[in-house]
Amino acid sequence: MDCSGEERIPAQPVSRIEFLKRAGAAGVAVSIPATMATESALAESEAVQLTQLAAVSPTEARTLEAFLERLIPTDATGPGAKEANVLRYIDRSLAGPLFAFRSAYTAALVSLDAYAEKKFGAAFASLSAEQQDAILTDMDRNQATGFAPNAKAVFEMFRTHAVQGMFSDPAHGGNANFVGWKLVRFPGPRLVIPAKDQRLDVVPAASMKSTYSIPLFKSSKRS
Amino acid sequence: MPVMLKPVDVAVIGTGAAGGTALWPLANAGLKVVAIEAGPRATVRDYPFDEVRNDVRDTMAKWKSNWEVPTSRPNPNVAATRPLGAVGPMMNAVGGTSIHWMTQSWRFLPWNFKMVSESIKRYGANAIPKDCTSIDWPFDYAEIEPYYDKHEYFAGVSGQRVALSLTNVTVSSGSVTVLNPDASVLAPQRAFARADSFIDPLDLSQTGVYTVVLNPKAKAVGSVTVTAASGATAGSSSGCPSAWYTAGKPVAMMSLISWTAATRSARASRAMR
Repeated sequence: MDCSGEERIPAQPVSRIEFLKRAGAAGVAVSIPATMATESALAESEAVQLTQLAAVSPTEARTLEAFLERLIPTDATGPGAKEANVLRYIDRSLAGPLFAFRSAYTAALVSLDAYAEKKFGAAFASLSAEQQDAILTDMDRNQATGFAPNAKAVFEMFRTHAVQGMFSDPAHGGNANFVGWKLVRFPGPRLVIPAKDQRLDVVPAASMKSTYSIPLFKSSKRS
Repeated sequence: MPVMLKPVDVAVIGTGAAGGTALWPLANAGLKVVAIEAGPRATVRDYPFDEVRNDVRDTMAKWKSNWEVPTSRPNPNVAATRPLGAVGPMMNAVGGTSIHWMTQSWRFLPWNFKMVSESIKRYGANAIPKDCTSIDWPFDYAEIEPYYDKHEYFAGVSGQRVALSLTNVTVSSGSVTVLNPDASVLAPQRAFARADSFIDPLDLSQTGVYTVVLNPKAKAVGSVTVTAASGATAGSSSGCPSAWYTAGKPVAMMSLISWTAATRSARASRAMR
C-alpha cells in the first residue's frame, strides 16, 4: 500500500514520539524533516497551509490530507505524504495544470465521506487509521460504493497525483524538503554525471535542489 | 492569399530526425535550401529535468503533435480522448524529437534488415503467414553501416571509449594531455618522444568537445600524427598500438600537427563524442 508496494499498515496511528522511539529501537537511520521538529511548529504550518489553499476548500483539504496520509504514511521507513506536502502539490495543480480534475476531486471527496459515514458512521478524516485503511483497501479493490465512475478509478486518480506530489520537483509544491527524493535515494538533478558516479557500487553525493535553481533552467517555463 | 516566394533548389518539409539530417549535406553541397517546420525553436531551457513537466503533462508534445494523435472512445456516449502521455516524448520543434535524444541512437541489427528471409532461413517458409505484408529492407546492414558511422560521429552518439595513438613523431620530445569538455583532466600529461606512443582506452563520460593538448618541449620543432580509435576494449596495451587496431576501429585521424619555430604549441581540438 505504501510506495514500496508492500502491505505495511500499522494497527494504530503511530504518534510522532512513538515513531521516533521505534526508529531508534530498530536502529534505522531516519532523517527527521524540520517540519516534524515540534508539534507547535507543525500546527502553525498547517494553519498557514489551510489559509493559502489555491483550489480545494479547507474541508476538502482535511479529507484529502487524511487520505494521503494513509496512502503514503509516515512511519519507520521515513516521512510520508504529510512531510512531503503532497496536499499542496495537488491543491496547486488543481488550480493550474490539473484543472480538468477539479470537479472530479470535489465529487470524489464527497463520495469518500459518504462511504465513510455508511461504513463507520463518521467522516473519513475523523476515523481511526485502521478504519481509514479499510476504506482505502475497499477502494483499491473496487469494492467501495458510491464513487464515480468507480472506487478503483478514484483511488488511482488520488494515487497517481500523490506519487507525483511525493517525488516530483519541489517547484510544483510537493516533495517538500526533498523528502521524496531522499526516501528513494534520488541524488537530485545534475547536469553532468561523472564516470565515478555511474558505477554500481557508488552512492552519488546528493545535490538536493530544484531543477529550476540550476542557473541554466532558472528562466524555464514550469508547465 | 498564397505568396510566391523566391525559388530554391530544395525545400525540406519538417526538420526532425529525417529532414533535419538531410539539411546538412544538402546545404554543404552548395544547394539553396529552405526548411519548413511547424514547431517552435526550442533551446536547452525548454528541457529542465522535470518529469512531471516534460512527460506527465506533455509539455513538449502539447505544442502540436499530441493534438494529431488519433483519439478513441469505448462507446458513443463519452467524448473521445487521446492517449495522454503515450506520445509524450514526440514533439514538433526545429530538430524535432531528435533534439532530446539523450545522445542515443540505436542501430538496427543485421537481422532487422533481412527479417523475412532470415526467418525463412531459420524457421522455414511456413514461419511467415501467407497474408503477412512484411518484406526485407532493400539494403543490408553492411551497405548502411558506413552511414550509421557517419551519422554517429556527426551527431555525437554517447557511450564511447577512445584510445589515442601518436605516430610519425618527428618532434624531439613533448607531452600530451587530454581534457574533458569541462576542462578537467581526462588523461594526465604524458611525455612522448620519437617512438610511437599510445594512450589506453579512456571512458568519455561527458558530452561535448574533448581537447587533446600537444606541447612540444622547449624549442622542439617537428610533427606528430594523432589517431583516435573507438571501442578499444583491451585492458592495458601501453606501447602496443598494433593491438588496438584489431580491437577497435580508427575513428579520427587528426591532420598532421606540425610545429615550426614560430608556433610554440598547438591545441588540437576535436569532438570525440
